[in-house]
Parts: sequence; C-alpha cells; structure tokens
Amino acid sequence: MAAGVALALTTTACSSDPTNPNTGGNNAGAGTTTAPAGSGADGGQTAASGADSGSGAAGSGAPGSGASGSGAGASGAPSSGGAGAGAGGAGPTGEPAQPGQAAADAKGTLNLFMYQKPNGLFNPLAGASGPDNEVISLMYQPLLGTDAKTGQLVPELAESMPEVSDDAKTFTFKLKKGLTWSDGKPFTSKDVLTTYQFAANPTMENGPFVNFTQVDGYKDLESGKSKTISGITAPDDSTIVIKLSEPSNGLVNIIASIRILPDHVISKLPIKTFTQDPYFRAPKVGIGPFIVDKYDTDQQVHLTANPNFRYKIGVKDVFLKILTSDVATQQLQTGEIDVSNIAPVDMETVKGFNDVSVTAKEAPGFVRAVWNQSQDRFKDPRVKQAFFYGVDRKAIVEGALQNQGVVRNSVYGAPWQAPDLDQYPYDPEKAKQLLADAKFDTSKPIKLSWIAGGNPDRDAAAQIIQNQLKQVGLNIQLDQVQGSWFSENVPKAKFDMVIYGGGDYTSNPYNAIPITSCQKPGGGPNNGLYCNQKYQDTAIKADRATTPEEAKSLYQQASKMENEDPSQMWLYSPKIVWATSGKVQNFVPPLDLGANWWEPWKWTKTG
Amino acid sequence: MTRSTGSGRDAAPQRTSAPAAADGADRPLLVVDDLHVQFRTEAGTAYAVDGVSFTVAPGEVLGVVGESGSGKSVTSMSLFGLIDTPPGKITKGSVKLNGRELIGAKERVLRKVRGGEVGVVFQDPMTALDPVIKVGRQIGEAVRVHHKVSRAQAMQRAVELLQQVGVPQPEVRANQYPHEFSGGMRQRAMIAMAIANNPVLLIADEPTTALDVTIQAQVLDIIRKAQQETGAATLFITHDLGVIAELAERVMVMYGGRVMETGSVKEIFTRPRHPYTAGLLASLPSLTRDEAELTPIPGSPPNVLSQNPGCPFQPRCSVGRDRDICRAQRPPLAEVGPGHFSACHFPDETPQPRACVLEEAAVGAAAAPETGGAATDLKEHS
Amino acid sequence: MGAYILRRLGSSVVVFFIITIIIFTMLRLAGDPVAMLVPPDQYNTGTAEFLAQKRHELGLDRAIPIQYLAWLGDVFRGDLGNSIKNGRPVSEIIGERVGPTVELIGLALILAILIALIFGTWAAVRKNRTADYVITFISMLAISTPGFFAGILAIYVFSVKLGWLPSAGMSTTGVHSTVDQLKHLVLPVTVLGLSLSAGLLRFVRGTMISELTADYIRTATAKGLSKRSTIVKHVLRNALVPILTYVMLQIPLMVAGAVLIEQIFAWPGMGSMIVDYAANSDYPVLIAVGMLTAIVVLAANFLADLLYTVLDPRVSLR
Repeated sequence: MAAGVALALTTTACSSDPTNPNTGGNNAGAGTTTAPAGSGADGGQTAASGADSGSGAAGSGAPGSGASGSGAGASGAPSSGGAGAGAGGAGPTGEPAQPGQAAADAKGTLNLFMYQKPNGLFNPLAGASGPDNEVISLMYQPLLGTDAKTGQLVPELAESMPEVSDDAKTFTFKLKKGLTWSDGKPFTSKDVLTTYQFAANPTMENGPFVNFTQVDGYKDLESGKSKTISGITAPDDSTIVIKLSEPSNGLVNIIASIRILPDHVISKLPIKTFTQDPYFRAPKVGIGPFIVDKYDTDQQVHLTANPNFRYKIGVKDVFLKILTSDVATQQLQTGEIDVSNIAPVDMETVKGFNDVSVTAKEAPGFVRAVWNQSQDRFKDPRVKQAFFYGVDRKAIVEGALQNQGVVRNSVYGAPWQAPDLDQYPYDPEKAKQLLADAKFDTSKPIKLSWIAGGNPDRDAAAQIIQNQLKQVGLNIQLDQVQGSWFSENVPKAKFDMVIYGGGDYTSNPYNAIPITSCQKPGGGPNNGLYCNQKYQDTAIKADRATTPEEAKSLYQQASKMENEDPSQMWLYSPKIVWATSGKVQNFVPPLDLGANWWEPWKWTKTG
Repeated sequence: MTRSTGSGRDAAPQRTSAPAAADGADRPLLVVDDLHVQFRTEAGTAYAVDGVSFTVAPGEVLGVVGESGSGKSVTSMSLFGLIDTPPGKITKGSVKLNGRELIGAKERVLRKVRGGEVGVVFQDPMTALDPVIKVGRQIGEAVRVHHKVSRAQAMQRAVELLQQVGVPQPEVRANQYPHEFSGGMRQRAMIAMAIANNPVLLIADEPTTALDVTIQAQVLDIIRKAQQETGAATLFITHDLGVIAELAERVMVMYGGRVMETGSVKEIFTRPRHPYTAGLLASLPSLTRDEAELTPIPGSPPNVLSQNPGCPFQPRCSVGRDRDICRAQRPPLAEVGPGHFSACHFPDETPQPRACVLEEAAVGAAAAPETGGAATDLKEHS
Repeated sequence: MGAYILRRLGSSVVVFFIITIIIFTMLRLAGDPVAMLVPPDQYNTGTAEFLAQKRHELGLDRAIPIQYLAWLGDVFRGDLGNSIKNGRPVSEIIGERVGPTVELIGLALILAILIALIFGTWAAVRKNRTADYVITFISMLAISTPGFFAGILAIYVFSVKLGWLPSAGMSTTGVHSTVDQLKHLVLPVTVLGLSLSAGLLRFVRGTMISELTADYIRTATAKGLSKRSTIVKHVLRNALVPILTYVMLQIPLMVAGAVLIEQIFAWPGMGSMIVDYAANSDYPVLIAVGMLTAIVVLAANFLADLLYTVLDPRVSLR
C-alpha cells in the first residue's frame, strides 16, 4: 500500500500548481496546503496557455498542474556517497561576482509575462501557486534545484548532491560557502535548519508539514513533546543532515527543494499564521538574483537585481506583468513584453513578428482519461488496451494542439521508461478484437465526464474519443461537469471515466507511485483505483534502491508492467510555447508555467 | 349683377401695388409690397403668401382676418424672419419698416428689429414661454438683448412691466415659472415681454385663440391699453371677426394667400366690397335674431400647392362662379373707395350684409363682464 | 422634499435587500469555490474531510438564508469578508480596483458627454442636411460596433502598426511619469468614450430636435436673440433635463461595458476583477460586488429622479 510512500509536495517546486500534498494512506489529514489559490481543479485548465479561454483561466491554477510534485524530481536516485549520485549534473553556474558587486553591470528592464494573478504572498512555505512561484524562484533558492533542460535535480545552495547513508535513511548536504543574503548577512546552515523546522511544524496553518512526517522525531513534534524536529540537524555552519524514519530517496528530494528563508527574518515571525504573514507581500531579504521591490496588485511585480548575489546579474529590473495571453501576445509585437508564453494557435502569427523567436517546450502535465477500475468491466487489461488502440491520440495532438504536444504511453519518463514499451498505435481492428476477447459488454454505455470549456484540447479530445470508440463498438456518453463534481464523485468512485490533467511524473518517477498504488476510494490520489500488486512492489523497490542503476532498472520494469496493464488511459502532454524577443539573451524556458526560472541572472537585454 | 366701372381694371397690371395708408400719416410705419412666401413640402411647393401688399400707419391697429390657411400668420411672421427658412422662403417682395428694407437684410440688423422696434405676442402662451426659466427672467431677457443692463435691473423692469399689464403681486410672480401662471396671466406676461422695449409695432398672432372666452376680453383689454400707452401700431391677426370689430381700426381680409379686401372696420363691416368678406359677415351668428341655421360659405378652402391664375375664391363665389374672367385672371387689389381696396372683378355686385351686423359682431365679441365698456368702444368706432 | 427623500430611501432599501438576496442565492447555487481548491489528482483520504472542513470554516454548510443573514450582519459591521481564493480582505481587493475603474469610466463619460452634446446638437440643428447624415451614420456605426472589437482594432492600428500608443496596462513598467500614464489612458478612454457616446448622441439629437421645434424658440427669436444664444440659453437648458437623467441611468450600465475594455487593455479595474473572481465562484468577492452594483444602480436612479425634479420646475416631488 501506499505505506511508506509518502507525500508530496509543497509546491514550491516547479510544477505549476499548487498542490495538495497527497497523502498516502497514513497521513491524512487534509494535508493540504490548501491549495490555494491558484489551483483550480485542474479539471479546468489548459496547459498551453496561460489564458486562453478567456480569462485568466478558470480557476486559476496553472495549467497542467495540479501538480504534484514538481521539480523535486530527479531521480529518485540517491546521490553521492553511499548511494547514488547526483543525477543532474553540476547545477546552475554563473560568473562569480565581487561581494556587493553583482548588480554593478546589470542594465535594462526585462518584461516577463505572468500568466495569472498571484496571491501576492511570496512565501516559499505557503501553499503556493504557479504565478507566485515565478516571483519566489527569483528571490529564494533551495538546496536542490531542477535543471530546466533535463528536469533533473541539481545542486543550487548545496555544494553537491547529498551523501546518502547505506540504509538510505540519512542524507548529508554540504552547503556552498561564502554566500550572503541580500542584506549582507551570511548564509549558513542555521537558515536551512530554521526553514525546515518551520516547514515541519504542524501548528503552521496550511503549512507543508506533511512532507516531514517521515522525518525522525516528527511524532514528538506533532504531539508537542518537542519543539523541534530531531531528525534535521546542522552539525556545522555549512552542513545539514536529514534523517528519515523510513528510507526514501524521493522524499528527501522533496524536502531539499524547499526554498530557504533567512533565519534572521523569519525566526521573529509567528509560526501559526506564517503562510499568510503580511511580510511576504513585499519580502525584502532573499538570496536569489532578484529581490521584490513592489507588487502592484494585479498589475505587475517589480524585482530588482540583488547586489549581494554570488553571480553577476545581467538585467537590472524585472517586471512580471499580469496580462491575459491575448494582450501579452499583442505586447510582444509592440515590444512592451519581452518574453511570453503563447497559445499554440498563435504560433504561426507570432513567428511572423519582427525579432521574436518561438520555442515549444514539453510541459510535465499529463492529460488522461481515467477508468473507474472498481467496476469489474474495466479491470481486464485487454479492455484497457482496447481503449488505447481505439483512439488516435496523435490525431488529437495534431488537431487540437496544432501538434504542440506529445502522446503519452506511460506515466514514467525517460530514462525510467522501458525502451520497448507498447506505443499503442491507432488500430481500431485490434481494439475490436481485444474487446471481443475480453467479452466486454458493449451494450452498457460508458459515461465520459470532464470539465468542459476550460481547455479546448480536452473538449476536442472528448469528442474524438467518443467518435472513434463508437467505431469499435463502444457507447460513450459525454458528460460535461462543473468543478464541484470532482470532489463529490471521484473520491466516492461514482463515475465511469473522467478526463483531467495535471501531475508531474516524468522528472520524478517517485511521483507516479501514489497515483498507481492500490487504495480505497478517497484514500489517495489514485482516482482510477488501479491495483496491481506486483507492479507496485517493483516501483517501491525502485524508490528504495541504493544505486542509480538499480533504481533505473527497477523503474523500467515497473513501467513495462504498467504499460501492459494500464493504470489510466494516457493521452498526451501539451507543450508550452514560449516567445522571446530578440532583444533578450540567455532566456531558457522553464519546465512549466509557474515553474522555476533557470539561471535568471544570465538574462540580458539589449536595446 | 352690374359691372361697376371704377379704375381701369381691364388693363390693370398683374402686379398689385401697395395701397396708401388710409389715415393721416404720410409716412407709413410699415410698407409691405408684393410679398411672396413659399414652403417646400413633401407634397410640393406651398404658395402660402402669394403677392400680399399692405401698409400700417404709426399707432394704427390693423386687423388681419382670414380662415386657417389663408396665409395671415405666415405673412406677419415672415415680415421679420420668424419663419423657419429651411422649408420656408421669401421669394419676392419688399418689407420696409420706417423706410428700411428688411427683406435680404443682414441677420444682425433683423435681430435688432426683433424685440426692439417690433414686439410679438404669440398664440399659445404656455408653449411660447420657456418652461424651465422664471417668467421675470424671460421678460428681462427681452430687455437685456437690446440694452446693456444688469440682471437685477432687467428683473426690476420685468416687475414694472408685469404691473403694467395688470398682473397682481408682480414681484412674486416674476420669480415664478410659467406653469404657475394661469392662461390669461401667461398671455399678459407675453404682452409684457412684447412691449418691454417700447416697440413701434406690435404683432399679435391670434393672442386670444387659445384662451377661454371670459379671459379673452381681459387680454384684449390689456393689448389695447398697451397699445395706447406705448403708441405702437398693432398688426392683429385673428380669425374672429368679433375681435376685429372690437379692437381694430382697419382690417385686411385674406384668402388663399392673397389679400381680398382692405379698409376701415366700419366700411368693411357695413359696405363690404368683396364677396368673400360678405360671405364671412353673413356667416356670423346673430344674437338678436332667431335663426334656424347658420349660413356658411359653401365649398372648401383652396389648395395652396398650386398658384391659381385667377381669383382664389372663384369656385365658391356667388358672383364669380360662372365667370371666365374670375377663373382666368387674377383680380388686382384696386381702390373702390377712399382707403378701401378690393381684389375683385365685380366688387359692386357684392351681396350686402344686414344692417346691424356690425353691432352684433361687436356684441358677440364682448360677451364678458366688460360688456359695457366694449360696447362703448364700439360706438366710438362707429 | 425631506419626506420624498425618506420615502425613496425606504423603497430603495427594500429593493436593495431583494437584489442582494437574489444575487446571494444565485451565487450559492451556481458554483463551488471550495471544490476549486483541490485539483483532482490530489485527492486523498483527507480531501473529503478537508473540503468539508473548509466549507464549515467558511460557513458554507449552513442553510442559505442563515448564510445570508450572517453575511448581512457582517456587512453592517463593516466586514465584507475575505476572498476564498487568496484570503485577502474583500474590502482591500475592491478598494484597489475601484480607483482605476472610476478613472476610466469617469473620463470616458466626460468624453462621451462632450461628443454627444456637441455633435448631437450639431446634427439636430442641421437636421436632414449633410452634417446630420454624416454624424448619424458615424454614430450608427459606433452603436453597432461592439466595444471589444473597437478596442482590439484601436490597439492594432495605434499600438501595433503605428506604435504611437502603448497597448495595455496603466503605465509602462518602471516608468513613473504622468505623461506615460496619460498615454496609457488615451486608447481605453477613447474607445470606451466613443462607444458610450453613440447611444447618448442619438438621444441628444432626438431631444434637441424636439426642443428646437418648440414654440419658445420662436419667442426667443422674436425677442431678438441670435440662434446661438437661443440654443445655449434656452434649448440646452431644456434639453439638459432629459439628457442628464438619461446619463445618470446609463452610469451603472457603463460598469458592464467597461468590463470588456478592461480585459482588452489589461486595465486593473473592477471589471477585470469581476471576471477573475467569478471564474472561481469566489462568493465573498462576488456578493460584495453585487451589493456595490445594486447600491450604485439604486443611487443613480434616485439621483436621476431628484435631478429631474430639481432641473425641471414643472415636476414636483409628489
């Protein structure tokens, strides 16, 4: 069971939305960091654009998100030392700056598009939202960050990937030396310790404590026996040690992705109301390349270069402008915006703009149709495979996404995906055959539910699925629903099939486990109630592997099992299309909307 | 019917000439010569005023009488440019006030005349007054347009004028709005406005038509008083013969956009020289005799959309009904007696009215408490 | 006068309550903001409880009439509640947005009135002549063109193609000059003002035409007033009454018109705020907005009636 597999994230991470930590079986508790703002039932958003469908997106939430997980990806693989190593690589780099001189050569103003209104609380421990994260990731840094190009975890404030004990329970991080906060005070392990202590504290309303339940000493902290969590210690100024009560590589990566706050600022703030603390409306002390200057509510966030940053910064001012995507696209033309993501339909037009380059980047969110596998008819793998063969998913991507998307056949991404997975090409004959073999009762209708109107590609997908499966004899009835339908029906297994998006599984295979682990209705995020014990055991073993090779091999085996007995009907991942003005250099599109920026200090603007 | 001789009518020129003023004054105040006014309508051109000529002596009261559509209002309104010139147009003629030509004069000149030398009293005082501005101010405006005085001074003058026209509590009234005045009082206010700058000519366009009979007499009284006090000449337009008898010295009868007959009230009423006038007089109801039926003029008013080459009254005229000359030739306005003009080919064949029609007419007009006074005036007239 | 005001206030208050009850109930039936808080792939054991807990905290599990009364009680105490989505006080959220909207609508209204008065009068005075045809034609065009289309077109022409004016927002990032702010005002105010002026212009024209044929005009002319004086001193004064009341009644509608313009020009006013929060069924914000709108409408109607009685002496307060 989900035992031992824990939780999730706290936002911060790259994935767009917030999230609600999943709780695997045991912890419960609503655990959430209240997904607040920003997340809307992912049911309704588009990955491709921040806005589209008219307003800033229904329900906010960033596209494709709902994510769980975010960035903490990386290989569940253990790092240096005993186990595994850093996947990832060297981490972000830059030209070292003299103390206090980082902004000396910074010039120009960069205008970035912020796809939604932020909550205005730029607090890494708050149930974040994608737009707020755009600001947070400029101002604060975590021990381990995510490489925007590979999606792998890389050291940021940490010197290198952590040293892992043989039993994969103790993780030692060495911190970079000589760093200072923007107000000149030195960065030490005390900052990390305090940040983690705060984060682990269950008295914090809507805090990310759920991620710390498997850390040594959590129970005492929870019961009040102790004021701090004993499993996190700082033996010296530049070392942090995390001790877990159960081994898990994935978990530590999640903790290490939490952005660090300055002890000398936050230790004075009350813990209980920390996530809503007004200080974070205009926080002044950070360690990232840019510090918040002012947030003009619902208009823009202004950040300025941090002179005490460790690398040289290229741009003096950054403005994150809150606009609808149509306005942003038009401002690309007039030059009022330098970088924006655009809707796939606008790609050709934008390519025609003067001095604007366009790149499409895969977003981590998966759009999928989930069968209610508590119904016997959906338990047979042949039936589920028939769905895959019966729908031309490539056509959906071509038609509904202007080809800006990737068809998915597995929840695991490379390199954890077995190389010989079945690609389920469109083959209606084969589908019919499989259904016959499984003696599927085609007379009973199948209701396909989804939140319509928020994402045109999903609306189109629903239609195509219905039409094409009709050809193989299946009677699909379309059922458009409202956001509240989800919470009322899905946890109670009162549905046949439902389409939604979100998630972030490719960068962190660990994130696939909670959604594919056997559970009771409402007992976790495995909405389809898939249960394949052999597969599950393999996946958990992979998370506990002590070497990266072992992890990779085990995950690949698991992926093969899941591919043959699909847990959900994987459809596609939309791509996010970025448009950048020719005046901007070194802009690397992030992994997702609202995900962390990559090496923002390298951005420069000419002219 | 015999044909009377008289001035060479057969060879009479087509153009009618302005008849000389009847009474003493050798310098007429107002001379209107061959005035033509047309209106562009959807149905065609309406010849509303088709060659009208007359004079007014200083201080004289000229009554202009005719039925609806006769052109009496249009004539007087167009004298000083008070008609809307997009549809309307003065195509011909001359209007001289104190020797100054007004047709074609610059707007600036006309504006000086309007309200200054000429005052107008309109038919419906309720709509003629601006409903959202105080009465005193409106009267005062008449003064301020022509004289540089302060608002307060103008208001003062307005109060004086209101007093003059017999409005009780003039200071209070001056600060009220038109809707707070009764019909009769509003007309008094209009009169006050018209005489504000001591005009030499007053034009009263059916001033009592919209009022009820009991008030009519009062208003007529005011007008007469005002006229006497200011010495202004008056052009009094009405369809009511009784009022003419009551108030006017001379009368001009119009029909079909043309003048039919002009003369002193006594002459016209006792010895009309135009069949139309005779018909009008005959149709007056008698107060003294018992009549079973009224005697209307048979037929209906002419169509102004065409210019009649002959006499406009011809189709209904007992005298000229079957006569070609009446049908084909326009009778010129010719003198048929001292100061008495008629536009008829056979003026002497005009049927004569019964004897006491003049008295009856006057009595009818004065059927109000002031009867005694009116009758007396009437006697003065005759 | 006092009695009249009291009576009107009384009936306005009753209407106000009815309106707020209707909006309140409709909102509660329309969507569920709490369900929006958790994305579907995050459901776990705790989710149902968490959502129920949240609902309880927000008082959304009580009967609707009770919720309404509670809300009313809060409002009278000056508490408009907090947004469900981001926890900020509603009064703060609305407070930030009122300014830009008032600025936009206020300036657009002034522009609309000026255009309507000047050109409407001109068209009326030159009725059925060339000037009238041209003006009427243009205003028909303006009435039939949807505001958002005009806005987009304006941006395309003036901002994108000609580069004369900025395309959106209230100011250029990082620039704090009045000139810059004025430049940002030009397009939205003009577009909104023009679209507002169209209907108003036709109304002005109609009113002026009927006033221009009024008898008192002839009286004024007979007094010797020039045409221009007559129009200014008499006609306008008479026409002002219906025109001003018409304008007052249009004001609440303008807020709605501004929504589209605000979206297109990324103007951070109430219009765009409504759209964002409505998408989330964020009750506290929406009901507060509904309440404010009801107040504005009622006030505008009341003022319009009052204005009418003040301006037109023929109308009494009975």
